[in-house]
Amino acid sequence: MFTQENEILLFQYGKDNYQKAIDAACETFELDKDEDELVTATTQNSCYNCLFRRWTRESFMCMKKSANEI
Amino acid sequence: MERFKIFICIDDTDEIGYHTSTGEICEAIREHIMEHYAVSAAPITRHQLFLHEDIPYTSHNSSMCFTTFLSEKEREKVTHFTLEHVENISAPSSDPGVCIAFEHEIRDLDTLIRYGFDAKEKVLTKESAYAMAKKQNLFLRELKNTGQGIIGAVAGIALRAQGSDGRIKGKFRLDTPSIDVQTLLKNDLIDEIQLIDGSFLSDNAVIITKDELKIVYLNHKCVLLVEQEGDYYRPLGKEKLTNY
Repeated sequence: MFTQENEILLFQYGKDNYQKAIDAACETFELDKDEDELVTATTQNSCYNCLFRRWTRESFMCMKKSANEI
Repeated sequence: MERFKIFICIDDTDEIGYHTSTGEICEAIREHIMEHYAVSAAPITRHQLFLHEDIPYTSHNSSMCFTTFLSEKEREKVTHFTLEHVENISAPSSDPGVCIAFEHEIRDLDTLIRYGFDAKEKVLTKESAYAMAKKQNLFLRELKNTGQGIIGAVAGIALRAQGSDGRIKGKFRLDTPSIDVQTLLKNDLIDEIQLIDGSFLSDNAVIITKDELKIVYLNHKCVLLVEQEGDYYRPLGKEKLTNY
């Protein structure tokens, strides 16, 4: 689900693959507390809605898990 | 006591995993003003800025802005409150910036607006933000750490002043599964209902309102965007509003 570039874990399916973002949600998922930053439904955990994702132009970085956990 | 339209914008107040968002801090400032100055305030807009590896944003690089009406004296008090509040409640490692400006004191709105759009597609510097603030007569203050948020704070005012950028903070739900356009427009939170191409619906067109409604800011108005679904219209969901 993620590629590693230097120390950065980058989601490899971009910003529009909602199913993959659900599949990628892990046990450390935490819903972003800011409702305005939620970009998809909250009925299932999705990395797109996670408090620990950091958006990039093409996708997002996971800021929670270390590379060896992915 | 004469009051003038004023823009208030903040940016970069959080850190990864922080409990209080920039939007919540902005809302607290807005509510403080309404409560203490007996004045209404327009809804908060969220403005998406450039996502680039050279910009040290926390997670999404957006700023929050709203407008209200204040006198000169009230502006001083509100500025003091805003700075103190942002300083106290922002995340320890955040880089907050605050920008405040009376609309009538902005010297060259077109140039300011261009700066706002630059911030959506270029990496800008703090120096450029200070230069723009000085040129346009904006109050600008960095509060903690690098103070990088001043760039987004200036850009947020520029984009809000332009009038067609961003989403309205918050969402709301109606207690009815569907409603006609004419009735929905009586809701204070919605100025217009449009299709994505900018066309309007007839007054008796029916909108499905089972889901939460998100509003965008277009032509200085709070607009509900909808798409046709058979004989009805459905508000655009979060996934389709990410570009706003």
